[in-house]
Amino acid sequence: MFELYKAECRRFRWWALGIGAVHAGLLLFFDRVVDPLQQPAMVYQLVAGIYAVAGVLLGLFQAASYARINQWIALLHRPVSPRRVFVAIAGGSATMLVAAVLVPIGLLLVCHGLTGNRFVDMRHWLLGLSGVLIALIGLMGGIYAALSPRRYGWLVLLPALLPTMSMAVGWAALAVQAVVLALLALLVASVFKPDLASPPRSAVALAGTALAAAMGAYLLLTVAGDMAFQTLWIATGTHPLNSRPPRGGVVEAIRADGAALIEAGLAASQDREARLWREQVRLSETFEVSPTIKWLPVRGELTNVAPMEFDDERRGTRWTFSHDDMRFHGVRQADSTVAGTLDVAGRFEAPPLPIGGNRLIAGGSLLVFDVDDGRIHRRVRLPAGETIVAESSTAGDAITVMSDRALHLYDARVLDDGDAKYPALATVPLPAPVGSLMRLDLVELLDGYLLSFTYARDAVSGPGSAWQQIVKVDGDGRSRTVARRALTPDFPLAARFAPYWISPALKTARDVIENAGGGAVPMDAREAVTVPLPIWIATGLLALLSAAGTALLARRRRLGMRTGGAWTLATLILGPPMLIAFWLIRPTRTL
Amino acid sequence: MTTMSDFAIETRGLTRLHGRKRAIDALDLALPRGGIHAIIGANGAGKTTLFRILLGFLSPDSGEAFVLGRPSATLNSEDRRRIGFVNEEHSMPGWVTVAAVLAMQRRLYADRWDARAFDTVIASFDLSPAQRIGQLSRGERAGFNLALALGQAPELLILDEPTLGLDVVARRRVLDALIDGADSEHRTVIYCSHQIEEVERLADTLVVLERGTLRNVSAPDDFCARISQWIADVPFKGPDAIPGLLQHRKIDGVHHYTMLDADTGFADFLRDHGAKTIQTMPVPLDRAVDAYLTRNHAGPAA
Repeated sequence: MFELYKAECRRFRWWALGIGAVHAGLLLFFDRVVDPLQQPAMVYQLVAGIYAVAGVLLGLFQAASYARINQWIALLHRPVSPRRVFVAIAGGSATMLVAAVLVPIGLLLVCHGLTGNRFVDMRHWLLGLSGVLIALIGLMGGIYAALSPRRYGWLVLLPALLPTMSMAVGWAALAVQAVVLALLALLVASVFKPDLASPPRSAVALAGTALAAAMGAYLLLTVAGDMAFQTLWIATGTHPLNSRPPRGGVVEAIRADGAALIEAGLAASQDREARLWREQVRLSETFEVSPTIKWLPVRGELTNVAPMEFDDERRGTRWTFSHDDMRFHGVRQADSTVAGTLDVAGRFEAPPLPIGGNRLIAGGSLLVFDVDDGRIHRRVRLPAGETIVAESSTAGDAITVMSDRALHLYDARVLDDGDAKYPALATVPLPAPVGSLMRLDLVELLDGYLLSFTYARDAVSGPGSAWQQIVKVDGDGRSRTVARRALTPDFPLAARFAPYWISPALKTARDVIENAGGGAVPMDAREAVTVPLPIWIATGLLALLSAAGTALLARRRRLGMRTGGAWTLATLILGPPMLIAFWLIRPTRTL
Repeated sequence: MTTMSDFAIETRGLTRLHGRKRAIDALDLALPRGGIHAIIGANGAGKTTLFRILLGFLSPDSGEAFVLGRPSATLNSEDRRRIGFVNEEHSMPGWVTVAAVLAMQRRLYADRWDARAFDTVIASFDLSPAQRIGQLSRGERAGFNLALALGQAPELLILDEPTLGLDVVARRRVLDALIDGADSEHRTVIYCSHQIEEVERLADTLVVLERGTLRNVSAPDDFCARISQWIADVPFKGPDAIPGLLQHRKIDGVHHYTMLDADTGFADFLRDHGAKTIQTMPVPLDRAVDAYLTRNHAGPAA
């Protein structure tokens, strides 16, 4: 089938050359005006989206040109297995696509180092590889969309979007992309058969298709169903996010003024000083501690949470961080000459994230770039195992440093002289996982601080529990909880737990897929969700009804005991999404 | 594994729905190995659908189909090596060169490539190896496609209206090659065409499909023998209901009846209705087919 492969390569060679030239021109142009390797993640996501769309369009075009039945017969009616024909056909287009994506990226990376004394990390080469994998995923998706039966092909493709939410970084991200590509290639191979309208013949391919279709139906039910529900709710004028929120609810707490929120929290306090604190809150300034940063840099990550660079304006030097040697590399902006490297005593424990004001955070350290001596100094080092997860902010004379375990309050002078001279004024352990923390408000009292922790992440339309906890910090740094109140969910139970009752098994599978290859992310830690009993009952009833529906359909289609039983059992486990998959796939008696 | 069967193709209760329409309707058909079998029928009779099911590219809604003894749905690459197929569109990728297609075909069928058959047909066409398929005229593409199909020397060759677009010389050479292959290599050819003169020249068996159902399987001469032309001078408009009538025309006041399976009893029938003179004569295949298919053809009667 080498002739077929060559013919496909020849077919697309001019397209590849033209698009590759445009691609290279754009990348080299951007390399002259910005630093393409130090862009925020959103830019890379946009570029990845373009590669994926290019792959999809190529796959759709290529496969659609064969999908008409006479063309399909001409392609497959030959003494070669369909799998080999698929490899030849898809191999040809994939080769041209890889050339159009990878060669310009390689050219960019080579030229990047040659111009302006900039460096290229290993992760940037891997980023190019990731671009190729994403384009190939698009290609396979396009081919599958063109060849699979329209009844369910689009549904099968939906789960391929799940890894866009993946927590995987670096090599793990590449592995996730490679797995998605391999699974899509297997799906395409399963439809690359003479009769395009019928479902896959082998039990394994049919099971894979059914699972993917069930997951697609699940995603559609949860996402589109939620959108439809909320749209209708908004139309009635009673949606809590689109009208005056109910009293004592989550939305009210999220939107409340800091002082009012703390007062509301204190209303539940039995402490004899509560009335006095409420009066002080009314008179004092309330500080809102910065919410947590969603992502922190991880060594070897393919993209950047934020540009890993800062400018020394006094010396006209741009410092860019290299993941390879864990140092900042300086380039004088006036003449693009090398200005050496920058480190910190004891080395960076993690790639440092510039957070403005010449400050950086890296692991458990708060670092400051001193403009006077042109060096980076470690000003705060938290106890081992703690990771700073938020920008430091000012609260009166103090500054806050929040880690994944505690909120630390320091004298603001710590930024100049370090924590050896100005140790923490107070350390307040977080009452619950930091990922569930929605907002943190602080009021300076005459004899300490009042802290209001509002835990409501995933609790507005999601299943998370929500509460407010008021903590009093004494003048000597000791803290105690003085009030706690539960916040009433504003969304109905059925809506908040829809991902569970539609299919708890697919909910779990979705979480596993999205977290595959991801390391421990402090901000992702959440309070465990407790599923109420009525939801479990509804889940069981729905699964039973769905299984009965599948059994009935299987009987009507005369699938036989074994095949019908397998589908019914799968529906019992996976719930209504599997019933939808079964109804759309219309399997025949082949299992 | 090759399954031996006496039949080149066989269908049992084969039914295929296109929406609500029965494209193939409970078709029981068995064509023996060897010889040239022509399948005719009006547009939409189910010929192309039948071929697609036989090759495994469509699934029947019910019933079974076998090709060279193998269930159509399970044809493997070795089975396909033994089966040639040419569709009416002569579909080939337009971006590939003639040389590349030929090289691929020769390599795929290296063990049975019949250069003589290929050369015989391709001699009618002035093709350049560097030409792309998309640059060929319809006739050139048809000729090239047929030459490739004959070159692969299949045991069973299925042709779906293959000679559309061919000039007279090319058509004659293709037909000669088909006859030669069927005679000297014991090839089975299943041939679908609207060109009745081709069918008349080629076919050993004539299969008539009508609206997905089987109407006739016989030698063409036997089919012709079932259809006869009757000319009768009957006063006024003649009898109203005539069993077996395929076509009726009144020319210069004389009634012309084309009849199916009419015997001498029909003469008595006409006499009973006042016929003064009666003449009967055989009809050629093209008129027999025309009359047979006109009976239930969509549109106004002839």
